[in-house]
Amino acid sequence: MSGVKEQHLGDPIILVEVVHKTYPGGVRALQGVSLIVHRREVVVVVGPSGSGKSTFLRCLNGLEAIDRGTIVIDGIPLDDKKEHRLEVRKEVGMVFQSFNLFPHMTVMENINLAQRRVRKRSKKEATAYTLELLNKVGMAEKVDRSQSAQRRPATARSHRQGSGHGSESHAL
Amino acid sequence: MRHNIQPNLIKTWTRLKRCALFDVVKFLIVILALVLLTLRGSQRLGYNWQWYLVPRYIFTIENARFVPGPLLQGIMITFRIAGLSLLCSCLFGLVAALFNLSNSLIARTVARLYVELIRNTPLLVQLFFIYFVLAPIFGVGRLAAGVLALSLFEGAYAAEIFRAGIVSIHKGQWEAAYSLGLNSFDMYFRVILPQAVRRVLPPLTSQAISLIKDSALVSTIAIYDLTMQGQAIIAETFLTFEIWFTIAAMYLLVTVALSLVVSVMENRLRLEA
Repeated sequence: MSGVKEQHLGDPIILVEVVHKTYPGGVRALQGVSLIVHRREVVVVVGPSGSGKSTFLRCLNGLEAIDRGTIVIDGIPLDDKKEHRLEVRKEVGMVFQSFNLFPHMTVMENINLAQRRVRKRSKKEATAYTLELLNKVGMAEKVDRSQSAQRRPATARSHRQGSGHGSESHAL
Repeated sequence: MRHNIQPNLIKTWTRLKRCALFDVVKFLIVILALVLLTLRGSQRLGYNWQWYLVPRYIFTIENARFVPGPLLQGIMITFRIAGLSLLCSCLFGLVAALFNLSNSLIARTVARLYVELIRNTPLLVQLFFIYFVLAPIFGVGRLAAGVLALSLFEGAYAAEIFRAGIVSIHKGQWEAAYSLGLNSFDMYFRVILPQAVRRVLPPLTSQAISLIKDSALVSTIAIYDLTMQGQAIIAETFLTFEIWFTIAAMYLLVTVALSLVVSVMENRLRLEA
C-alpha cells in the first residue's frame, strides 16, 4: 500500500489478529486470519465456497465465538463481555445470505426497528431516515409492503444505524 | 338410443353430486336418522323427559324484565374464572417457556420442575391442595384458589406450546436480531414472540378450550359455576339428563364461539412469508 493511499484512507477501524475458529463438528473454518481495515476502505473477501468467508464475517459481529486471536472494532474488543458485543453490533451492519427480514413487519418497520430500539430515535426521525435510505435503493414506494424478501430492504436495514462512520460491512 | 342416454345420465349425476344442495340434503338425512334413533332410544330408556321445565333455569321473564336463571348466573362465573385463568396461564406459560430456554441453570431447573410436576399430577388434587392447604396459609378466597389452580395447570401446558413456537423460529431471525444490536428483551418481544405466537395460536386455542371445560372442576370447592349450578338444580328436580345436556350445550356454545374468534384472528394475522 502506498503512503499516499494510506493518508487518503484514515485510521485502522477493524483489527483482526491470528483468529482461529473450529466448528464443534471438527471443521477448521479459520486458521490464523489477520486483517486491518481502515476508515473509508472497501474490502472484498473472495474465495471458493466453504473457505470460511461467511464464518469470518459472522465472527466480526460476534455471531460466532472465536477460539483464539483477537478482534477489535473501533476500539472495542470482541470478547466474552455481552456489553462489548452489543456495542459492536450497534455499529456493524450485516446483510445475510438469505436476508432474514422480519416477516411480521412491513419494510418500514424492519428498517425502523433498530433505529428506534438501539439508536433510540423518535418515530419521526427514524421514518425520515428510512425513507431516505429506501430512496437510495430505489424502493421508497414499497415501504408498506409486508414482505419483499429482497436484498434491497435488507441492505437498507443494515444501514439503519446512520452513516456516522463507514464501518458497516456487508456479507453479500 | 341407450348408448346416447347413459353418458348423459352420468353427466347429470356428476353435476348433481357437485351441487351444494345435494350435500345439504345428505346432511339433513343423516341428522334426521340420528334424531329418530335418539328418540327411539330415549323411549326405550323409560325416562320421563321434561324438557319444558328447563328454560326457567336458564332465564325467566318477570314483569317484562329479563331475569337470568341459575344456569346463566353459573356461566357468568365460569366466564370470570376461565377468563382470569386464561390470562394468568398465558403469563405463567410464557415465563416458564423463557426460563426453560434461558442460559441460567437455576431458571431452567425451576421451569422443568414446574412443568413436570404440574403436568404429571391430577388437576383435582392440585385444586384441593391449593384450596385446603395453601389458601388458608395465604388467606386467599375460594375464587382466587380456583383461578390459581387452573392457571398453574394450563400454564404448564402453555409453557411447552410457547417453547415449541419459540424454538421453531428460524435461526436467521435470531441472528438478524443479534446483528442489529437488539437487547434480549427487544429480540424476544419485537422479533421472536410476535412470530412464535402466530404459529402456536391453534394449539393455544385447544388449550383454552380445555381450560374452559376443566373449569368445571372448581365446582368441587363449592364455587357456583355452570356445573355447580347444574348439580344443585338436579339435586332439587331430578331433571338429570335434561340439565346435563343443557350444560353441555352451553359449554359447546362458548367453546365454539372461542374457536371461531381465534380462526378469524388467525386469518388476520397470517404471515405472507
